[in-house]
Amino acid sequence: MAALNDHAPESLSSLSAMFDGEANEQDIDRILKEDSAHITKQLEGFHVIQQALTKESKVTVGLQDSFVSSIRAKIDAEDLANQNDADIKADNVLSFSEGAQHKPAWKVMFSSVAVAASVTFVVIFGGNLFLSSETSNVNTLAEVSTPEGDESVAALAELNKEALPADSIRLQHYLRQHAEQAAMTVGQGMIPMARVVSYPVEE
Amino acid sequence: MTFTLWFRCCVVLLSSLLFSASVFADDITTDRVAVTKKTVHEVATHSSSQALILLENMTQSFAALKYDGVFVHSEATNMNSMRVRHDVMNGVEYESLIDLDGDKVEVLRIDDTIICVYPDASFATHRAPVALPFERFKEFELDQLLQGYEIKLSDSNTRIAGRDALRITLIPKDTYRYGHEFFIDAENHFLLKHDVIKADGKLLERIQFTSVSFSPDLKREDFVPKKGTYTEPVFESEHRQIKNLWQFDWLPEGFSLVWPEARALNHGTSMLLLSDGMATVSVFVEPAMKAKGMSVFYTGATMAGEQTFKVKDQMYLLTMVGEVPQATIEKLMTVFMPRH
Amino acid sequence: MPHETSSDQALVKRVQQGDKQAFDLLVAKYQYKVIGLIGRYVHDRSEALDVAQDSFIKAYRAIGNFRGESAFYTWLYRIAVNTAKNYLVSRSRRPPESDVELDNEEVFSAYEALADIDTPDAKLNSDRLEAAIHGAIKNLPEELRSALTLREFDGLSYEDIALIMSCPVGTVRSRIFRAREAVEKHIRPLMDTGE
Repeated sequence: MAALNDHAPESLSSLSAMFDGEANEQDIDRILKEDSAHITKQLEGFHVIQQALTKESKVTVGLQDSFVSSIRAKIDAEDLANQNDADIKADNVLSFSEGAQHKPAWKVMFSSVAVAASVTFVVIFGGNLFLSSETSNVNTLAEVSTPEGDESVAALAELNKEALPADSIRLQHYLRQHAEQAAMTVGQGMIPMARVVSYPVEE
Repeated sequence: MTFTLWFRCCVVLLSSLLFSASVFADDITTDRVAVTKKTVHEVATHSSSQALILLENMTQSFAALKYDGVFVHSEATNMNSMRVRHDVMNGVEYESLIDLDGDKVEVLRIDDTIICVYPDASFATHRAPVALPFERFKEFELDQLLQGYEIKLSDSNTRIAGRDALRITLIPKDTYRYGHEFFIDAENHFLLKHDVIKADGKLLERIQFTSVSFSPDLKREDFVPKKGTYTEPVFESEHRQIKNLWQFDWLPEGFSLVWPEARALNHGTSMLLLSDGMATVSVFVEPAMKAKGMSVFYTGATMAGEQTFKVKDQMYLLTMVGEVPQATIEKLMTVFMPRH
Repeated sequence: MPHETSSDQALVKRVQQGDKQAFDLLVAKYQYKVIGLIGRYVHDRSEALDVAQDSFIKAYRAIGNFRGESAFYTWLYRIAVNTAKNYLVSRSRRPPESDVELDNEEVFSAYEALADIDTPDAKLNSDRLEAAIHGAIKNLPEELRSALTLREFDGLSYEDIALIMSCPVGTVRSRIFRAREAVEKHIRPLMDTGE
């Protein structure tokens, strides 16, 4: 098997850039001209270095080209056996908001904070803290009307009880997106991200 | 930051105009009452200008100061203590937010990259940082803020986390937003406490520092995920700008879209962001299959509403999330429509 | 400004135009990540490899519908998680062999499960390899080591690294490549014996 240095440095430099997501079209052209087994081996080397630098767990080797080629073989075999398989819709794979068993990637991020969020306790604050020393201004805080009463208001935490896990996940996703945007918009650094920890989380 | 400069120029200009006006007023009237009234007015306006400068400085302080502090975030049913650290080293901005209760979850920011760090060593993913324009958002939209709130700097000072604090109140001009009270460090204008207040004067949400140091010994190593921790980028995808196909038939005073276009999220969802300079409302629209009536949920100060609506033969699910009263979410949902 | 998504996007475009080799490259690039991810759900190594294979095949079949609204890896990540979870659901319907607790998914160490390092020889080799990598990195010239560390440990883009190191982006690219090349050369004999 050829070692790294037997290959043109340009193509390996391109591969290194591709590994980092920094490759351009020319790089990709160059890489695709190379032998796939060598490329895979090289990527494995890059990956192992990355693993050693970023993880406490043991580095792994040994997948090499076999995994890539077995996938390719399966795809080719399926293509031959049934051309119609090729039009599987993405929807079948990615029913994000439908079906409770489908859970999006971001959920992983929330799982750990779930513990923090579940250990909650009520904090009782006295009312009228706002402007307490400037009572003349209290009236300028207009009353908020709630036109349809409070029937439609439910704590998000109760969603779990309503057996709407997929919907709940969607809402949590949006809550998080919202917190991120708020962190960038309201000029308080990352402090609005503190809300994310308090958001109710399923599981 | 040109906006900051522009704003400061405006404040200076405004102050000098007011000064000239009061001198002029003094010149043309000998009525003592009239003079007193002018002076009161001038003081009030001055207080508002000062408050605006302080708010602007507060925003800058988050990005410019070096700090290490512990704050408590609390709302009706929840309270969490968190540690926040920030420094700028070699032109790179580092920030860390750690949940001190429960699991030790940490959110790290290195310039525009946000990473979530977990205590267990099981897994880590790495990605190139998503280029998010944080710099662009480090300024208060002050002129916008004035449309929705009356802003005041209180005469009475107080102490928070052992530091002298100035108090700024944002009194909403209508029912569509909450009131805010900021306690800002008298020396460096760092935010020490922030209350979100409902219309009935009750506290909805509070962030309050219990201790903070502005000369911590921070190193770059303090802001990189520790070896063996599990890291995950918070941003799951690069946001793509798409044409905004939606509009609001009405918006509360001072509210406007933060981005000129919509953002495409995954699975065909478009996201819009509304802000009045203080409160933000995120709007999500996605194609839907089943009809759904309006429902509103809340968690802490955050309100979320959802409902479906139909445009021609296509059903859409509309979700709005924001730190605004229920009525605002409900009204915004009824005035949301396709752009003609 | 090329970054992760634009690189992948270019490859995805080629796959969409029928270039299977471009897909091979995406598989080669992400195989370890996807297998590691699936290992958090499916603890058995050979089963995890099967599920990973299924995930890539599903991704290939669905790639025509991938419009680049998210990064390719995010999209792939979802497919892999869904495939793994569906696999667990289907297995849990076959009692009594399955007793996987999803709640514990985060604390499970994928790499330890999938590394196949339970034999003393394999563990020794893995330890040696890691030590060799750290040794090789330590011996790199400062500018190469910094560039590689900023990229791999801090996850910074070439552009950000260029800013930090006050050098052109092309130099960053070259430094990272040269660092990898040197480390790879050093550890290659160990990797080959580890097969």
